[in-house]
Amino acid sequence: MATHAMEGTHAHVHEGHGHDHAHKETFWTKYIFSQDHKTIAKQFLLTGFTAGFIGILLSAIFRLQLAFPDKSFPFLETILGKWAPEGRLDPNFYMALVTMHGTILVFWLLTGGLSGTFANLLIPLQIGARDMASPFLNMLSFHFFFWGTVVLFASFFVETGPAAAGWTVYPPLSALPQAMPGSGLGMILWIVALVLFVVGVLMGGLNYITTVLNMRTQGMSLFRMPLVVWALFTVAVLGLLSFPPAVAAFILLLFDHSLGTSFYLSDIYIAGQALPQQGGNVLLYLHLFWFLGHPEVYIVLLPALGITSELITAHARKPIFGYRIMVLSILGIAFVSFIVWAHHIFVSGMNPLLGSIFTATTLLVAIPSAMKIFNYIFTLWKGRIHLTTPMLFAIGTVSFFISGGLTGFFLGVAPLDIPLHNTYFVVGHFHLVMGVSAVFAMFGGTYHWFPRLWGRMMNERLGYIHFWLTFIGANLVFFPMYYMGFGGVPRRYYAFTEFSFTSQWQNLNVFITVAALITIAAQFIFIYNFFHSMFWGKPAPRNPWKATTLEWSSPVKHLHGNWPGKLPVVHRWPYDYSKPGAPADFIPQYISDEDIARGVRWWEEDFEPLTVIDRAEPEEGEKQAASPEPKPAPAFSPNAKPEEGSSPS
Amino acid sequence: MWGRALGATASQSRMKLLPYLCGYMERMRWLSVLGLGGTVWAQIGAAAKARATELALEAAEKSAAFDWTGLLWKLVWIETLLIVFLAFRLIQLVVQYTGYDPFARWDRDKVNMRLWMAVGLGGLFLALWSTFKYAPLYLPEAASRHGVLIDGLRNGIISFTYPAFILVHLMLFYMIWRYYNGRVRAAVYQETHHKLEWASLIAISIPVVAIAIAGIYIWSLPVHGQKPEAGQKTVEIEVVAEQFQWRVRYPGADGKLGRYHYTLIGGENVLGLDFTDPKAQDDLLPAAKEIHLPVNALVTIHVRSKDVLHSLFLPHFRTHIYAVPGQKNQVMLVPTITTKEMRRKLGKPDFDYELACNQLCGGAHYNMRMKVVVESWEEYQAWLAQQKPAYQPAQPSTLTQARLSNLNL
Repeated sequence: MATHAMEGTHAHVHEGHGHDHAHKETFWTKYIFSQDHKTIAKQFLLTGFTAGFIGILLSAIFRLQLAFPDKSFPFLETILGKWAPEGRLDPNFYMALVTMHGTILVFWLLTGGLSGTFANLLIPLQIGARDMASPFLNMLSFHFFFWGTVVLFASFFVETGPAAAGWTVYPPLSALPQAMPGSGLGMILWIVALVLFVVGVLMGGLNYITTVLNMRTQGMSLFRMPLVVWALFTVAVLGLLSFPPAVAAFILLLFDHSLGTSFYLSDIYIAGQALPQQGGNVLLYLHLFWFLGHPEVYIVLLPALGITSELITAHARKPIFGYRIMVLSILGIAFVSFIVWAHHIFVSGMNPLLGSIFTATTLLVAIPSAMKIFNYIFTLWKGRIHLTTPMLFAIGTVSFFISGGLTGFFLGVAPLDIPLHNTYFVVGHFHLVMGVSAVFAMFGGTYHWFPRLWGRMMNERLGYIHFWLTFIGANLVFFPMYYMGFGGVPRRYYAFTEFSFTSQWQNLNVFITVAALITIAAQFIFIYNFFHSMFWGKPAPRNPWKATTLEWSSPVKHLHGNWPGKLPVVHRWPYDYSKPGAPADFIPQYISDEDIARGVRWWEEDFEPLTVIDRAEPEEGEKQAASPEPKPAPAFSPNAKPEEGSSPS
Repeated sequence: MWGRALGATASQSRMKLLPYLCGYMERMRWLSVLGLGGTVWAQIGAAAKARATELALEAAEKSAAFDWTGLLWKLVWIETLLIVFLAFRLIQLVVQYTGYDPFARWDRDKVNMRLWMAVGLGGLFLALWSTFKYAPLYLPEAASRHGVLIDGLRNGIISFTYPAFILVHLMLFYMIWRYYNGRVRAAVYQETHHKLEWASLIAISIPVVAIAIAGIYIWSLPVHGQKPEAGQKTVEIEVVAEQFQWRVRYPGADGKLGRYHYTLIGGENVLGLDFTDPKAQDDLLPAAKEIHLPVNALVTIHVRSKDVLHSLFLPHFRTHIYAVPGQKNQVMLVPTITTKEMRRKLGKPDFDYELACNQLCGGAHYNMRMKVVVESWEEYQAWLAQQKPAYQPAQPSTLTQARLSNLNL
C-alpha cells in the first residue's frame, strides 16, 4: 500500500534527521525557511494575528470618524500626516482604511491566518502523518503569503495611498486612477498582494488535500477523522476551485487598469474626458469576484466551525452529536456555496430571473448551517461542560453564528435585499456570522492548541477577562448595526451627516464606537497573555485537556517527524468521551480495546503514549503480513468497528 | 490581588521577591533607560520650549515653529504607559511574594456559568428592548406599491427569526446552566438521536420553503412584473449618476426620452444627448437638484452612470438598482404617498424623501444626495411646465462632431 510505503520513507527520513540531530539547524532553517509544519503553523499564526490586529486598529480610526464626524483629532495628523489634515480624516483615506480593514481581515486573518495555522498544525498531527505531503511546497506557501503581506502593507506608503475601492474593488472605480487616488499604484499593489496570497493559499491547499487523502495513519479512515480535519480538507477543495476565477478577475482588472483593455469598462466619461473603452461590463467582474467571494465566506467559516466541534466535544466531555450529519453538513455547505454567489448582486441590474433562482439556492444554505447549530447545542445537552477559556470562545462562536446567521434570511431573499443591500444590516450580518464568529473560533483554537504549539499553557484568568470583554463588546458593536440597517443607513459612508434618514443615528454611532474602542483595547490582554505565556507560561502536560485526538500523543517538545518512534495506529473514532464502562471519561484514538483490557492507564498525568504507540505499529517487515485493523474487543465495540474499504491505498 | 489574574504562575511564586526583582530590573533596564531618557528629554523639552517661544516671537513670520507642546504631550503619554506597565508588573510580583490570591477559591465553572446567565439573558432582553426603542428611527412605512409587500415579507421573516433567535439562545443558555461541570459530574455518551435530527431538519425546512416561495413571488411579480393598471398614468424618467451628483431627465411633450451617447458629453450637454434625435430635443433637464414624481402613477426610472458604479437607492420606496456604466438599467415603482401626506403622517414638517448613492463611488460618495418630491398629478404637471428643455439651438453642433473625431474611434 502506497500509504504505508510513504510512512516507511518518512520514518526513515525522520530517523536520519530529527531524532539524532544529525544535521545542524541554523536560525534561518529553523525559524525562517522551516519545512516543519508546526513551525509553519506558528509563522501563519503570528503573521495572521499581526496583520489582523493592524486591521482591527484601522477600524478604530474610521470608527472615530463615524462617531465624531465634526471633531478634529490632532493625533491622527501625527500618525497619518497628509491623510488627516488638521486632524480630520480625508474621505479618500477613510475609504482606504475601510478597504484595507476588509482585505486584511477577510483574507489575511480569516483565510491565511485561520486555515494556514490550523490546517498546518492539525492536519498532520491529527491524521497521524510525519509532515505535509510536500514540506517544501508548504514552506513556499507561507513565503508567498508573507510577501503578499509585505506588499499589501507597503501600499500604505505609496503617495496616492492604498487601494480604496472597498475590499471587493469593483471597477471602474478601482480601474481608473482618475476616479480616486487609491486606484493608482495602491491598486496595483493590492492586486499583486492578492495574487501572491492566492498562490500561497493554493500551494497550501494542494498540500492539505494530498496529505489528508494519502497520508492518514493506519486505521484513520475518512469517517474517523476529527471534524476539523474534514472542514479544513473541504475548505482546501473550495479554495482550489474558487480562488483561480478571482485571480483571473484581478488580472483582467489589472489589464483594464494599466493596459487600456476593456473587460469591465464601457461608455465612461470621467475627469472631462470620454474614455475609448467600449463593450466591457462591470457585471462580468461582479460575477467573477463573487464566484470566489461567496465560497470565501465558507472558507472562513468552515474551519471555524470545525475548531468549534473539537473544542465543544473536548470540553463538554461528550461525543459530537450526529457526526455523520456534521460531515454531510460541511460537504453540503461547501457544495451549495458555489451556487449562491449572485445573491450579492441582486440589485446590480442582472436578469431578475437569476434573482429568483439564487434566492432559492441561498435559502438552502440555512438547512445544513442550522443542523450544525442544533448539533452543537445537542452536544452540550447532557454533557459535562467545563467552562474553560477555549470552551467559552466555542460557545461564543455558536452564539454569534446564531445572531448573525438568522439575519441571512433577510438578505438572502431578493425582494428584501432591495432595502437592505449595502446597508449596515449587511455589515452587522457578516461581521457577526463570519467575522467575530470565526475570530472567536480562532481565539478558542489558539487557547486550546497553544500548549501544542509552544508547550506552555496560556493564562486562564486573563483568558476569561479577554473573553467576556470581547464577547460583550462585539455584541454591542455589531448588534445595533441591524437597527441602523432597518433605518436604511448605507455602508461605506464617510459621514452620516448629509442625509436626514442617516443623521438621526448619530447617538448610536457614538455608542458603537465607544464599544468598539473598549473591545479593541481588550485585545491587548490577549496579546500580553499570548507573548507572556509563550515564554513564561506554565509548562503544559502532554494532554492538558484530556482530549482524544492524535495531536496530544506526540511529545510536548517539537521534533521533526512528530512521533519519535512509530506512527500511532488508530482504533476508534475521535469522540470517545464518557463512554459507558470505560475507565476514564475519554479514550484516545490510539488506544485499542486490547490496551484497555491490558490495563493501560492513559488518563494518568505521567502516562507515556509512546509506550502504546511503539508497540502498536507493526515493524517494517511485518507490514505486509499484519492485518490492517486490530480486532476490537466486544466490550467497547460501537465505534471501534473496522471500516473496510474506506482506508485509501 | 491581580497577580494571578495578570499572568503569575505557581512556579514563579516560590521565588524570593528581592532577587527576582533585581533580575527583573536587570532584564528590563532598557525600559528604565527609556523612562529616564524620557524624563530628561521632557526637562530639555520644557527648557527649550521657553527658548522656542522667544524664537517664535522673534521670527513671527515663521509660524510653523517646532511643536514643543505636542512633543511634551507625547512624552507624557509614553511616561503614563510606562508607569501603568511597571505598576502592573510590580503588583504581580508583590502578589507572587505574599502568595495571597483572592480568586483562589472561585469555582471557574460556576462563575462562568453565572456570567453566561447574566450576560446572556441580559443581552437577549437588551436586544429585544432596543429593537423597540429604535423602532421610531427605522424607515417609515413603504411609500410605494411593491414596498408594502416587501415590508410584509420583512415582518413575516422577523416573526420567525426573532423567536428563533431567542429560543435557540435560551436552549444554549439552558444547556450551560443545566450541564455545567458542577451541577453534573458525568456526561452521557450519546452519538446521535434520530428523532431529534429529523425534528431539527423539519423545523428549519418549513420556514426556508415558506420564505423562498414568498420571496420569489414578490420578486418576480410585484417588483419586476409591474404593469400599469387600467387608467393608470405612466411616467418615464432617467436618472444619471456621476461623481458626485445625480442628474435627472424628463421626457418632453412626446413622453419619450431621446438618444444619447457618452462621447457627446461635453460643454452644456452634460448628459451626452444626441440632438439629431427629435425625441431628445424636447427632453427636460430640471435645474434644481430634485426629482418630482406623480403619486399613484407607474414610474419607470432608467438608470445609467457616466463614470463608475453608483447605485440608485430610494430607501423610502424600497427601490434600489445599480447605475452601471455602459448598461441600461431600469426600475419601476408606484409612489403611493405624497411628500405632504408623509410629513403629516410622521409629524415631521421638514421630512423629505431622499435619493442616496449606495455603491461606493469615490471620496464624496457619502454626499450624493437628491431630494425626491412626490406630489399630485396636477402639481407634477405644473412643475414640469416650468422646466427648460435640454436642447439649446445656439450651441454649435460642430463642437460635438469635433469631439467625436478627436477620439479616433
